[in-house]
Amino acid sequence: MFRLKIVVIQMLMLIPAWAFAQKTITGTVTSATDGSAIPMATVSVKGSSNGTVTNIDGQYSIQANTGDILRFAFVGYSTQEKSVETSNTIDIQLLEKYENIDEVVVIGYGTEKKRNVTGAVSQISSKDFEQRNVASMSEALAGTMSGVQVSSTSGAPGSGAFVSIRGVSSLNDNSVLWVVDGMPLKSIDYLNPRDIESVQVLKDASAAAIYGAQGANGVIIIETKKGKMGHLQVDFSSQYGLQLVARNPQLADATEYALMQNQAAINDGKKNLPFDDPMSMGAGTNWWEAATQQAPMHEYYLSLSKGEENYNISSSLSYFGQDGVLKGGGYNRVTFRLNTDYKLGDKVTVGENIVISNQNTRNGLDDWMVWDAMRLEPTTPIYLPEYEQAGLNEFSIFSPTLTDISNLVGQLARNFSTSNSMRTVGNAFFDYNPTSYLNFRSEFGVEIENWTSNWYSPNYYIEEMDKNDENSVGSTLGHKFLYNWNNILTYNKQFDNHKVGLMGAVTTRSDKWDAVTGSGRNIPNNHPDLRFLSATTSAWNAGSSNSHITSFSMLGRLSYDYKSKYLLTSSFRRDGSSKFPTNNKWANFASVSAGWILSEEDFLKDVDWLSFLKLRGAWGQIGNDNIPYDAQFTTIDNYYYILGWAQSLTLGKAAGTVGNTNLIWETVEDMNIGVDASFFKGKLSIGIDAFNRTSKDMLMQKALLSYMGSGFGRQWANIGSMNSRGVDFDISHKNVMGAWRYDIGLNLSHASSKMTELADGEAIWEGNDQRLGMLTYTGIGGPVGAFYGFVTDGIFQNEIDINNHSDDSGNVLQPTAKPGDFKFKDLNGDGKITADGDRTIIGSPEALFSFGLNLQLNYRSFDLKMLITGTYGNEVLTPIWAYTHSGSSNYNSYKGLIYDAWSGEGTSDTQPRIANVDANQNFRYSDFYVSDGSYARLKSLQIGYELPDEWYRKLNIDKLRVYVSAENLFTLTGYEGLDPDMGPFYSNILLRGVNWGNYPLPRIMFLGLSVSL
Amino acid sequence: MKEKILYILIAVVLLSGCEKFLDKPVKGKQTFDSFYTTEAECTQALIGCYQSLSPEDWWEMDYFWLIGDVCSDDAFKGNSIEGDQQEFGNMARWIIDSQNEWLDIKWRYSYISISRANLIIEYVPNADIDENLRNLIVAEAHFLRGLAYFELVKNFGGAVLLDRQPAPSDLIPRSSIEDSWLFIENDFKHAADVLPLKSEQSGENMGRATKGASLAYLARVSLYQDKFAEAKSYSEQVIALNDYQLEADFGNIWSVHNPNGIESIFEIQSNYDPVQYTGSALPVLTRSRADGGWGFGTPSSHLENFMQGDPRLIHTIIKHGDYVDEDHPEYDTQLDQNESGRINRKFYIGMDDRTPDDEYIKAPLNHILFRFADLLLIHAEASAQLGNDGPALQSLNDVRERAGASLANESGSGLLDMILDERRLELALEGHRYYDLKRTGKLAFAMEDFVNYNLNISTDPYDAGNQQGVLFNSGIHTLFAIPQSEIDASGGIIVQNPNY
Repeated sequence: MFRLKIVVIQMLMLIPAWAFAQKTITGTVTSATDGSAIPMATVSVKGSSNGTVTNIDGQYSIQANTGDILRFAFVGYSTQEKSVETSNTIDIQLLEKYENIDEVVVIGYGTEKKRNVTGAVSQISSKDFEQRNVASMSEALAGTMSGVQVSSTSGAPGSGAFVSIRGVSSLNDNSVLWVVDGMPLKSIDYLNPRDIESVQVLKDASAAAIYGAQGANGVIIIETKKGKMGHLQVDFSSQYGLQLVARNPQLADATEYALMQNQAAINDGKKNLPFDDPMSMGAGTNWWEAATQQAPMHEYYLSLSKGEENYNISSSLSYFGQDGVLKGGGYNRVTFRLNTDYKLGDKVTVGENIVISNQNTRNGLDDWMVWDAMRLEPTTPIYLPEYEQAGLNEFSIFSPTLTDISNLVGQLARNFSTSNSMRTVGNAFFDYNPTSYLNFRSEFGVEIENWTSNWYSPNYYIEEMDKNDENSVGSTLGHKFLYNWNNILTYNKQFDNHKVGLMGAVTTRSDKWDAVTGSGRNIPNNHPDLRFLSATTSAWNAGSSNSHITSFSMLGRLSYDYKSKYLLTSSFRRDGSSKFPTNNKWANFASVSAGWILSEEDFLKDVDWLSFLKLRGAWGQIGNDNIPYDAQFTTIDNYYYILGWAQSLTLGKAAGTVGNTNLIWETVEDMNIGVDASFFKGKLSIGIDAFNRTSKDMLMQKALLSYMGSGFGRQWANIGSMNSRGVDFDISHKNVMGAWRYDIGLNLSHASSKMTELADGEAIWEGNDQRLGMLTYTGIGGPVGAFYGFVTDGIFQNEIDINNHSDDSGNVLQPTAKPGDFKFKDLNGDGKITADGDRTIIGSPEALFSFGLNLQLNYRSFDLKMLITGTYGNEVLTPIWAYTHSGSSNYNSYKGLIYDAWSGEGTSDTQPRIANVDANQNFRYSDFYVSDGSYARLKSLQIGYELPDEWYRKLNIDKLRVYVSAENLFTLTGYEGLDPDMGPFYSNILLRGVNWGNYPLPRIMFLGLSVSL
Repeated sequence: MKEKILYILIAVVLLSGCEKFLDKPVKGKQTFDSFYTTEAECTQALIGCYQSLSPEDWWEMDYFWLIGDVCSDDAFKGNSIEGDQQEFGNMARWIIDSQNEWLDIKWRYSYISISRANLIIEYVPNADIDENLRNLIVAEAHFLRGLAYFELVKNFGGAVLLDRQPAPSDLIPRSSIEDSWLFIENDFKHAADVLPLKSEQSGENMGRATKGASLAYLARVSLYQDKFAEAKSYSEQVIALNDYQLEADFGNIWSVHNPNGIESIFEIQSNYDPVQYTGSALPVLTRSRADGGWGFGTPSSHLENFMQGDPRLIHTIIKHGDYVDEDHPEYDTQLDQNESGRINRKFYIGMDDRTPDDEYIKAPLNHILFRFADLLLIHAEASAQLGNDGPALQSLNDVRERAGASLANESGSGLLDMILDERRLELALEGHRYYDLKRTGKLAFAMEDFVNYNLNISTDPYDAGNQQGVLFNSGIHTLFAIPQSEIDASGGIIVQNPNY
């Protein structure tokens, strides 16, 4: 239906063209390199909406007047213009454009030619990620450039990825700042990646400094699509994907489980075995299968854009929907975007960019499901036998389990948790050029979000320990209003060989939200129409929360360029933030960077094979105020106690959060040196950057000593300093050989962190695991979040081994051990195995390097894009093995444990005996849980085919492409857990490489279609 | 350049309004800076400190009270499902290390009480409120701080002694056990000097600390240090207050309908509220898994045998198949998930008194920490230790008489043994056994006897063969391990107990 409308619109557009006496120009567009025809090149009449594309043989035909200027453009080639004269034939040879150094880069409150950039900046455009069929731009960045690490935090529907730039820059929130069309934001999940035109990453402090406080972890600038000169462009695409569990855990079945439980009882010295006849148990329930599914994923995308001399407009509407491979979760998003620019006369431009996005999430059980599905005993059926189900409600028909884990399918049935977010992000700008060298720009942006979340908990009875007598319901409503106002004055002028740029700006920002929440109990029944607060009859509870953060900054930048060879940029800023105590609100930060374009020098100018060579050096500081609005305040909370003969509820109060009135700005300071070079007319290009970054007065929510009396509460504090250094390396090669075009890019990143100072001298411990204790250790001289535990040294094969494991004076080190137990090393040689002296760093989550390999291949109408990502040299901690690899405690284990476990001399030196009574504490935190986490993954593969245009040219369709693609197709790794690609657990940088039951990334197969009119 | 100048002017104007723009206070909450000023606030701070005796959830404080029984010959971990609170099971099995979560929780939450008390002691004296009220609040804070330290010391030995709230960067080592006891005594003495008698307590304040409770704790603290003269003196002071009597009916002591009864000296207050979690977890923690409980801390046949013939047995243990009440004519202890086919009767509450929701955090049963019979037995023990057999017999027989047991007439060491046995009979499953055994030096013998009984003698259908106690080591287990997280976080300033 829409297609017809578009045709009508397009025909209307053409009416003015027919009104003049036009002639038909024909010709062929070919490549200057080898003379081959270029199909799909755009041919347009400059300044009008009239345009066409070349056919498979490079031929075109267009209506034009004498004196009109024709534009010939094709991706990867330099655009050419030719005026229409008497001839009716215009053949054009397009020059291949290998270099992109003349591309313009957005550098923050301004633009700069890429060749002149002196900081560490990388960029990609939509063609580099358009094959990635992912929900969020954060995922699409994976493997595209060096220094940008993208790791998955969860495979849950709608969840993005964790993006960090150059490893760790703070122990606190390490998330990057996104700047969407000039609007700084902390998350961009509302955006459809297809709306994005280009992405620039500012990696070092000198480049990011201009964004100040929030840019300390790096800045990613996103430009959404703008209308382009030419006729109305209509694009439609649709795709369907099927998500599969990429790797299923192999779990023991009922028979094996029963054998294992019996073995544990025997080893415990119990007389009665729990299972009389394990072999009769069969396979039992596979809880993992019961918890997972093949889940669909849909996307539809429609965009319209058009540009004229005085305006351009670009708009899109899209839908994205996804269910989870773990049952229960789902996500969908509808996004509308409208970008417009108008020129009001010669000096003034106004415009706006707006995105309205509605996101709905059905919250699954996510990480808990991974834990539960792997640990639940297979001997319990999912449902009660049918005769026992009679009279029970739909939430009560599940079998009770043997463990403290509730029946997983029952948990899913009771899970009614949804959230909705309606988000509007937009900005309007006014741009005034009184003279050619002066510009004033004012940008006012807002982010408005309304969100609701609702949960319902039905009444049910599975067993006495697993029941809910009274149903209950709760809701939260929140509202956010953020504005950001930038006023920027720039001055750019060239004096002979001297080019001077000055920029001054003030920015004002206010970020405010508040939310109310309510809950109640006892709804008359579980009918879906009654799951609202108004139906509750008791136990009403209400609360609210809020936050208001303001900031104000003044900044200036000077840039100077001599003969386009010597480049200098310096910036200064003063930031004020409401988050700090009165006397610490303001701080100053500076940066300076310089570049030298050697290839412009006389001695290199004539070197044929060298196209471009630039040396860069930069130093910069950025402040970081990444703390909540109330971090400085100690608040008083309500705590209720019972008093009196009447046993009455009595209000008490005590400190809630623990504030810190000495907080100051965190400062990130870094040095960067880099080289950009390209060779052979840009067919080969290389970029190398080395950085050294120091973060001082790092802000972190620090666990306090228990005797401080705040329980598990934490306090924000400036906890110390850290250094991280590393290297980013990019190499790419592109070439055309006849009908073949290819483009290969490899990027490698290395970043290593080291704690250099701890304010109180106390190491930082993080991740309190029920079985293993604190999971990571961050101490002076070590990396952030090292794994820290005991060191095993094989397994005692017999009593002699145990007695031989003694200190110099013959004291047996592990007197309570039995054959089959782990031998632990006495690291401090005190004759005892103790937590005090015998734990050490047993692994690091930091990779020696991470990499991305991109390949694009085009052959006539076929195209293939491939992305391989991975890491090398990092380690992974898997705490869930305390359950699945121990065979104790009624929990299920992996398939084969019963055969792998030590069962007599010589049977195993790596897997201890199975036992519940384990005086040796075999499964304490040791190197047993640490494994190599290196992997290489075929992250994405897409094969597309552009259908021959004669099939559809009559329908006025420019381009019709079909493709198949896959995400996460296969992985090479030695890691035995579900997925080695894991971001910091819940984005906590101290929990990198910790597989704490993370929701694994699914494998997704797609079929898609895109149409351009 | 005119624009530039104008622009700078604009910036200056903007700046002047800036300081206010950047000033964003907390909304919707009081802050610490302005608290502890009015009478209401000071009182609320105190109630907040009481709340730390039984925080909202089951695991913070309530669960650990069972340790005194499961780390002894009176009870087992109870719930035989290995994976259900395995680390609690490790405590009972004496597989105790510094990373056991229950030790961390006990340590951590005791210091919440101490912190709240210290803030009161530090800030309330500056409040411009009625002097008597001010002194009362501060004295009660001393009581609560003393109580928290007593719990720490009896489990861990010497504590980190704090007489004010430390700054987060303060690293403070543990004090000696002697200094710790002294600190506790001073707190209770301060409280005893100021607090009212229980009989003087107003109706709405019933449940708050009293002079009697302070003196009673001084008696207990003295007894734990073998300071028998002081223990005798303090317990006599309590008796002389005439504030406490023994319940006529032993079965009424732990009745859910008898909060703050005549025998009660100090108890943690609990009641059901539809919204707030102000109840106790103990009834659910200890009840049978077939009866809505979790089945922890199940009594041993060793205890049952010990109580054989004593009228208190039926008020102490429910055995599988026992008649309990109309709803439970033949009690089901869920044998396949119960290590000993028995449950604790003292924390049992009947169907009519159970809460409509979340009973595991909302049960109405008050938890008695100190009752008059305990005080009489302290008096008896201290007197017997001092050779004053007469007063010792008097107090012992008061307790036995009320229980309906035969009166004693022993003397010397026989009398002392009988008093210690009486503590087991009277106070069984109330969380005292492990601490009594270790302070009297009888823990190793008791555990040896318990293991020998279970493995070689017992023919009990439910708990014969249970190996709990096999791993007990008297060189280690008279003090629990200091949480490793605390040692680590202090960079080793906090030192571990021997042999952990």
